[in-house]
Amino acid sequence: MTLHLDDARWRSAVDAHLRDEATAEHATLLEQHVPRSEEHRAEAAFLAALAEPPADPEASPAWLQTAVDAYARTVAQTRSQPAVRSPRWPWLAAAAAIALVVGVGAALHFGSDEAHRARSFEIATLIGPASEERRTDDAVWTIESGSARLSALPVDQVVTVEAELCAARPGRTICADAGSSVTARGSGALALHRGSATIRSEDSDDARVELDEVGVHASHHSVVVIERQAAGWSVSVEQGSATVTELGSSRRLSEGESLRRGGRAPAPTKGSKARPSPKASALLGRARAQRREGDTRAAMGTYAELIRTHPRSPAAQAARMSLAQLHLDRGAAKDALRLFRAYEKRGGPLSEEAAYGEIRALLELGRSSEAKRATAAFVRRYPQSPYGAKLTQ
Amino acid sequence: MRVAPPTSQPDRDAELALCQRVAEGDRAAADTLARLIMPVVRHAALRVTRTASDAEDASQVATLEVLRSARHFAARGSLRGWAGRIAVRSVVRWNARHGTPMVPEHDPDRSLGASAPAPGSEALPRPLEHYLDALPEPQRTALVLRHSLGYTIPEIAETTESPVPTVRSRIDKAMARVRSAIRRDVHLGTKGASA
Repeated sequence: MTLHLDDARWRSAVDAHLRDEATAEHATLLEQHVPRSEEHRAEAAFLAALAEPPADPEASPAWLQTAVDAYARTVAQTRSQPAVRSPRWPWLAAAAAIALVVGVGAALHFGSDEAHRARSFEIATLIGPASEERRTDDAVWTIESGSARLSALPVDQVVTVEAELCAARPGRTICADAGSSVTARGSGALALHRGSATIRSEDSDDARVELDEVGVHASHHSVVVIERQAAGWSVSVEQGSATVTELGSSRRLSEGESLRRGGRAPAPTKGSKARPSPKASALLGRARAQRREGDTRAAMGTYAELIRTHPRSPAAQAARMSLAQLHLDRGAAKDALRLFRAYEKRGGPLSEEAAYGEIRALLELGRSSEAKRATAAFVRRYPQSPYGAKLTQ
Repeated sequence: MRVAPPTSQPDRDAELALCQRVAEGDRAAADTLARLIMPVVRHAALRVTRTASDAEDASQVATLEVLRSARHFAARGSLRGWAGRIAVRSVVRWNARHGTPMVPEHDPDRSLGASAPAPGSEALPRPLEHYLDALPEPQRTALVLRHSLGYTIPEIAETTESPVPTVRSRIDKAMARVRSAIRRDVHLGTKGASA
């Protein structure tokens, strides 16, 4: 075995540089030393290639033109129409809109070059101008950020939301949780195909969500949580009242009441309310506002408080998914895993996403054999899932 | 490339005026700003993401993010540096949420954005992307931000919303994996293979 002492010192200098702890001696060594062993020369070549900028780009790549065009049209659209804003229910950040349009692409399984161009077109279309009818039509659900109207939800198109997303019409807002699928109807209603959504109605009595043959109308100043699973659905009124129309008959729900068809009902806990309380809704709203303002740490604390104080509420289930994703994004895979599993144990409209998150967390933790087993179970349970292809690649 | 030269007052006035025009919806100004940041957007996207199509999507989203943020530019530093930070953060977030997961084979389309041959690169048994694609996303991002884009550890921590010790750990683990792969290739005599 050949020992190259200088190469070992050079590698120490590389480590010090990468850890942001390089001294002047390290810098000199990095500048002057030429590794002698083949292995160290290859490592030096790797670092040199990594530091090198990519080759000269195209003068005018398509993505740049698409982004500029989309931006210019969005600003023009914003200026052509005063923004409809609610002082009480602020909008989600631009990231949500971006997540939405990307989510459309993911939902449609784009993959090839041709499909990729189509996905770029989708992004441009959604961020770009709405038709004249849409601009003047109150029935359009609009995604907004700050004072800008970013896009209109496409009518009669299934949209899968990859991050929490709020869409608005005058006097009402509907927020869909991550993983939910929705369609904006030409009538102004929003159809919920999967997942969960929260209606917040202020000065409108026409905030309406459809679940196939079932219609849910939220009254003035009401907050209504709707969940839809493969086996059924539930409607819970957190504030105000709502009317559920089913097979020609209507039922009015007051604050604190809920209605469920099929699916698994949440088990009440001793000493706690089974139904969501306004406080749970307030905590969820606060966490979302904190995320929108970029205060992720505070949002995580609020999500945790919500889960601790209202563990059985629908809002807490939504919080588990959001908090798990935040933990995963921040490298805390162990915490994320615990929350994804907690969500799966209780069940909900995002069980598929929770199972996918569990696998990602396991991979992040290096528990590859567990991840492999979980992936096999996932593919068996959700054979049509768009996540399946990602996991089995 | 992340560190921009000091900007003179006339330059800053011009940059402020440019951002003002962007905020007002001036398409030509938006095009100018997009082209100004294109190198850093493309650099970050090609190094952080795993596929050519992901790089294009991340670049598009990052450019939009910068254009939308133009109205907040206060000229406390250079426009290129300010916009570059926004763009890189956007690319990292996009990739964390939507990027293609780690796969054993790297995307051959990546050759479209491959590095110019670096001095001594013939000593590397396989293409750069092969070694990067073998890293988990958080490790790859940390290593790229540190060595390719020149970020400091605290800047990486802020960009990736991770604690400083975690960032250091990710970089250590990334280099350990790269070294292990290089050692294996050198000992097996692998040369020029794509996977």
